[in-house]
Amino acid sequence: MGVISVALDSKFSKRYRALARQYRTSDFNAPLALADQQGSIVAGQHPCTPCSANLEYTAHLGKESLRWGDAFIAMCPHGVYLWSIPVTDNNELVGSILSGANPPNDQSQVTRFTATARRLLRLACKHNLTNAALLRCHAEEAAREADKAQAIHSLKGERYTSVREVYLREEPNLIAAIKTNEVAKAREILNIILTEVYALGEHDFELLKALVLELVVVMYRTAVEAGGDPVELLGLNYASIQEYATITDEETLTPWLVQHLERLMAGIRNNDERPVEVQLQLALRYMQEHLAEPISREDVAGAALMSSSHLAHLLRAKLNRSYTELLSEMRINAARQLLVRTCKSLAQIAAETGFSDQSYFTKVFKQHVHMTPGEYRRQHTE
Amino acid sequence: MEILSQLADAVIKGKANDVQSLTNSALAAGIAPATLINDGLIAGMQVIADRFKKNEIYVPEVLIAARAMTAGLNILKPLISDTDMKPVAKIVIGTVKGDLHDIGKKLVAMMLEGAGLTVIDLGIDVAPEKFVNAVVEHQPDLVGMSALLTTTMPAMSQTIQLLQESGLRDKVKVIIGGAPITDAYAKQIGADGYAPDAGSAVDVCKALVQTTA
Repeated sequence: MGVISVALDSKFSKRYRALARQYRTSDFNAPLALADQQGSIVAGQHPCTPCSANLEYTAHLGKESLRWGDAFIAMCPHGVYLWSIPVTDNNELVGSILSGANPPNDQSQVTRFTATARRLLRLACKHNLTNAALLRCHAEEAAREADKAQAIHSLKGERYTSVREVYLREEPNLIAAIKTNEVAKAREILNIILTEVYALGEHDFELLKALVLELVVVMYRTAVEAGGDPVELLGLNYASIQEYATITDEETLTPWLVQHLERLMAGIRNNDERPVEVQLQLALRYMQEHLAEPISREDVAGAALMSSSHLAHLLRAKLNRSYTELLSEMRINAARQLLVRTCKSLAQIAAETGFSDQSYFTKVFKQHVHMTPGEYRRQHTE
Repeated sequence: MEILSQLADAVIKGKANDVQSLTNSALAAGIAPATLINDGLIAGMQVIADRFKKNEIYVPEVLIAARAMTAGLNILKPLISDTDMKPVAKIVIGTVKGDLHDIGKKLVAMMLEGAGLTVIDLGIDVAPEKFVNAVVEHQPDLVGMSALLTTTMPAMSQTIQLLQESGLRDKVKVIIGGAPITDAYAKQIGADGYAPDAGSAVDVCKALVQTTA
């Protein structure tokens, strides 16, 4: 650090002082500072006093501005707008120039910050504090990347993936519910997915129709994987795909969809095989529902219809955890929820999440979360 | 009356065209509009609400049923005066500030309308001030708030606080709901009721209004 500070002092301080004189003439009084590569201030005043201690953050701003080839504007964790310009020695980043201001009362005034930041960038180029050609290169590259990202984004359609995500998230629960013959539970899960589907397709019937078909197709795949007869399921699908083509409104789409969901559920249910995901889901659900009790691995294995050693093997293979690790993780997660969402006492929470007493609860909680339950509650309910 | 059960059935099946034609022929046969609303449209929607609550039917079935009911209401509402039919209660409903989720709140609004409540839907991203203004303007019996994100939950408490500060808290019952909400949270922030799903929202609202009356 010393070496670089010296380099900054000897080579850049003079140029920085010249820049600072010109920058002060701007229309509002924003503090200005010169930081070295590690984020230490070597001249001037950091625009956010608490942030000046966070060297890594200050250094990060400098790196970002070089990466984008432009003034980099961010709102710091303390709510101050900061803008940063990279200081370069040829092609090397050696530090940054930092300025900033408190948020204005009128949000539209924020655009003034952009203008000021750009002005600071021009001054830095003029005083040879930063390599303008290098920045231009980076800026062009960033613009190309942004265009590419934009194109991919519109091609994929963010909304489209979100339905699939919801489905995949709910799938194990869905299969478990169907397999254990809990039809109402299965419908409840499907309704969660359908709510998402209908929210996305609300204003565009063709999109809605496509999303509904997608749901049927992914569920068909689930049915086959769960042991359903592909020929039978596909036969059903083929006949109804023709019907699907003639659908033009929600009134006819709804019975079509409902009929499919019910048939696919029957297809999944009628098979006796229990895929491991289903067994795992049964085990996890049993644990979740009995967290408050002293539950043994044997209890859980019994509920998931497998041997205790098979359960241990499955947890290691699928979740990379031992039974004991998983159980205390689930208990701590449940306790975190209760700490934030309820006013229950620590003793009560300890009891409800299966800890024998409050001091043991605090000890295990600290091991996992690195703070006491009381600290956690304060931090998350302020 | 045969036609009333036909009308209810058309709502249950979500057949908007059938609801319209049945409504028109019932009117021609001299049946009172209020009877058609209560014993036809609302009766049908009540069946849907019950089935939905028991997880017997799917979201799209609720949506088309609600749409069918609205098709009937659009014909009948202009024909009745306020004295003919007193609404069960009036509710101002919205998704809280910072939250852009619509469909859950919409389902609740449909169910409540189906149960005979007058629903004033403020939409999504509703700031506490907007809730308070709506209470002043519409003088509802209930305020319903929905949040789908844990990060927007505190806006519920802020709204209740603002109602308190504006001296309106005693004039309305507050009901909240949404995926992250629990009964304990409702109690903690001083809401009067909590509904875990759209179907039970109707029961909770009705119970709250009865305790007021």
